[in-house]
Amino acid sequence: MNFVNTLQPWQWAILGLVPPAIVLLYFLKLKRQPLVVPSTYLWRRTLEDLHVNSLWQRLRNNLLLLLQLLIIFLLMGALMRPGRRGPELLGDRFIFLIDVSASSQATDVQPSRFEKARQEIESMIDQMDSNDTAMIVQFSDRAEIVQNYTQQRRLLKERLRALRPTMRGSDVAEALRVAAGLANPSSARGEGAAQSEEALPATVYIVSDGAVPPVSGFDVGNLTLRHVRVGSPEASNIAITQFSADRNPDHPGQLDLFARIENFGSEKVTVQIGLRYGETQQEATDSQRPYLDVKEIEIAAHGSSGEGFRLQDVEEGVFVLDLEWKDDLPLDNRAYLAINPPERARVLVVTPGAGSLLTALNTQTARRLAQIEVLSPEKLEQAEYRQAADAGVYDLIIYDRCAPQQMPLANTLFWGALPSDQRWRFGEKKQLPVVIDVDRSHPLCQFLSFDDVLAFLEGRSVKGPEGTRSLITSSIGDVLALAPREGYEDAVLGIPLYREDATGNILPNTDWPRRTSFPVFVTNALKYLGRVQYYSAAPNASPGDVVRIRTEATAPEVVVIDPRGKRHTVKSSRENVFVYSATEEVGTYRVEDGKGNVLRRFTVNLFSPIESDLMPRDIAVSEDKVQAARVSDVRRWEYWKWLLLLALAVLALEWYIYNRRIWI
Amino acid sequence: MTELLTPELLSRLERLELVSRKIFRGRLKGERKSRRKGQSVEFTDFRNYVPGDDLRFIDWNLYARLDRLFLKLFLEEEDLHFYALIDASTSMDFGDPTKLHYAKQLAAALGFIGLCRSDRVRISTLGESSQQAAPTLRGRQQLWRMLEYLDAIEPGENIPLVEGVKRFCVRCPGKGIVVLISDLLDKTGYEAALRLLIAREMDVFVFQVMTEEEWDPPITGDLELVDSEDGDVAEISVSRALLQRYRRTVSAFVEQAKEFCTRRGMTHLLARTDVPVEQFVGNYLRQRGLVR
Repeated sequence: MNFVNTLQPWQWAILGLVPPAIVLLYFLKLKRQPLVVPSTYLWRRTLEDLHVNSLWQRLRNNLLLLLQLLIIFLLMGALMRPGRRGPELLGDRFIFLIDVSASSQATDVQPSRFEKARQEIESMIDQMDSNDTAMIVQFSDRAEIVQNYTQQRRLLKERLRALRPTMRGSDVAEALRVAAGLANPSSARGEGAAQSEEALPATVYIVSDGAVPPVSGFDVGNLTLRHVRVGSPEASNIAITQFSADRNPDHPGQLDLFARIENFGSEKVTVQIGLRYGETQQEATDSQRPYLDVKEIEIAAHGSSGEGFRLQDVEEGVFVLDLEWKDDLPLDNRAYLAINPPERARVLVVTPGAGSLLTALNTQTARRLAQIEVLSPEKLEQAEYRQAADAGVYDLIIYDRCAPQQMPLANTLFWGALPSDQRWRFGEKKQLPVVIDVDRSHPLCQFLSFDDVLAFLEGRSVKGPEGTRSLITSSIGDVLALAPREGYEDAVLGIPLYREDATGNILPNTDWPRRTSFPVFVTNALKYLGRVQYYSAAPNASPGDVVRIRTEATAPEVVVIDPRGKRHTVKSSRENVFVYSATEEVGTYRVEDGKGNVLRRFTVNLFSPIESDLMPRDIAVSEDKVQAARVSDVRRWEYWKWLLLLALAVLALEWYIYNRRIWI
Repeated sequence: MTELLTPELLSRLERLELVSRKIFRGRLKGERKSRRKGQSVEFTDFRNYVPGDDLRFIDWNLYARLDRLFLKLFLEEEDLHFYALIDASTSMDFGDPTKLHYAKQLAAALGFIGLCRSDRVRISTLGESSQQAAPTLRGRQQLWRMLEYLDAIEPGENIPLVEGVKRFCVRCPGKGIVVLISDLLDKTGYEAALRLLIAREMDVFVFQVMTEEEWDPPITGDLELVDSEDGDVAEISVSRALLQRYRRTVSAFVEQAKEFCTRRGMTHLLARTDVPVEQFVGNYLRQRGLVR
């Protein structure tokens, strides 16, 4: 227990005169009102009875006096500002770094780690002397000065109270650089470093659970680091640390979801995870809707478990995975996954003229999968084509009976021609090749059947470079082969749709285009070689990340609807690219054009094992551990408010007794 | 009619009479049938003749038939002495109506009953001086005199209770019914005074007059209580506890007086001024046997 003197000696002297004055006033005769009564006989007898227990009576008579003295002494006590405190705050300049990352929302300490941290800093602010100066910096994965150096404790507290926890990850390095920028001017070069007019030593109190990556290469310099650790070592948390989806490449209609659940507690647990689906996040998080699938998994202490879901025929929408478990951090018990609408491929068809191929590419399915442009072979020499081919604008280029001089930065399908990179060879032209085998396990040949095809009149076998995969084998050799080329794939088909007779007339080479398998093959080619993103998982970001959105159509602005339903209009930064940064909330974000069509979705999930691991830790700065200072060491408990309240209560009691004259 | 007695009350009182539990010898023949045997027209009994008996009361008819001498006995009719002793000290001048007024009303009512029955009625105050002696009245025509006398009584006769009773005893040596109407608030005590009355073998009634304000004083704050008689000062700070204690003291005081009287064959009655006189005389006194 110690005291802080709040009054000057002369003020104390005046205050000290009050109790004797009260006593003096009390012992002065009360001005009593005279009243003539028939006889004082009975009153005398009553008073004699009262005087039997004279000590108690005296006490009772003087109860008001005692209460008044008590009030004065309580007030004097309050003015002494009694309090319990540990060692003094180090120095006279303090920088309070408060952790507002996702883990600060943990409720292992009541009401939460963030509130606890705020209380810790408030108590340290209370402990500051009037000449001390302090500043507050909040940090998550970035740092922000909440209040610059000031001596006004009230201002510091106001700013502190305005803080809110975020869902971001945490990185104390930037906050330390900010602090160092104020204390060590020479090192104030880092991003976000704050400049100060005078560089003076300061004590940095990092009020955090320590769930931050180690800080390396940081020169402490004038700073004295103290870590006030917040959080309980008994905290338990189960978290979803991954939730992703993938198309089965062998079965494009199938969607595989994969989730990873980690147990950061010290006990083995059995938890249930439930998967819900909806067209919007609101639908997917509606607890009234039934689960698509529920699984019960057992996770060892400090262990993890992966779980998969296989779904059929899923189109665009939102998946929500719920972890049915009550722990200290509910934030990471739900994960979001969005499935985007298909992204059309950009396909160039270089063909000498109209024919079965263009007919097959003109179907509704093909149009849905790809944006098709047609070019005649003569234009292959033009700069326009070359620029586009070299820039990788197209996903797929189909060369029908023609070949470019230089291979484009795109997947290619050569039909009756050879790629120009000299790696491919055609065999001799032979009559009536018969298809013997089709590799239907490959997406390009899925569902392909030549049973009803009458004949190919002529064809050539195809021989590719090393690593070529044969997809259709015929009586004259491989007629369809696929080979990789620097991140792209080239497919060469040795059985053309048209042939040239001796007079130079173009005649059909086969009846295949009239059979069902022909559009199937064209569609397969568009999907596989065009790399159509067919209902694929939307990209995921961490809270606070900047998200780049690319759209198919050119638009000056798009509308991003955040998980709370708030609409943000985003202007295009360059062609078809939009940059969105307000990703503070976890959940699904919807990108719409001005007409309400959903263009894209993306999700924001925590997915951070560092944040989900609630075990309080020491913070490592440049290989040194910043030891956690014991919380009580830097706390000062003030009692003057209680004394003042007590004095007010006694005053109320005294007033009540005086007015009602009860029980005395 | 004076303010002491209303016509309605008078008509009710006419039907009542004073009752004495003791046998007193009156000086004059009255309307009252005495329990003593004596001379009247109302026969009660026979007894054997003994020598010396008045020969006029021998029943000669019986002697003729039985040849034995029997004496005829008759009920004696006699008058009754009724004394009302009013405490006219200053302490009786409180309350609304004042205790003294109430005492006068009581005395007037009982006196009227006595007058109607040809009893000898004497109403006096404790501080009565020998020069201004109260008259002894008899017969209902004396009602106006009685009331005049009562009207003339003023408060302020502050003498100790025992002194007043002693003077009364000296002045009125006869027997009869004595009603002491007082608040008994005498710092020297009431016991000695009452003992003097017992010694006279009178039928003693003590009416202790109290006002509502004395039972439940409507006072608050810090007060300096001044005694109306001797100027004694008591300083009090009124509190609920003090008032509760005072009420207990008053109750105990009344109970003590009652017990003192009962033990010594006197009748004690608390006369609260908030109880109308008619009710007090008609109900309480009838119950306690003073009137019938």
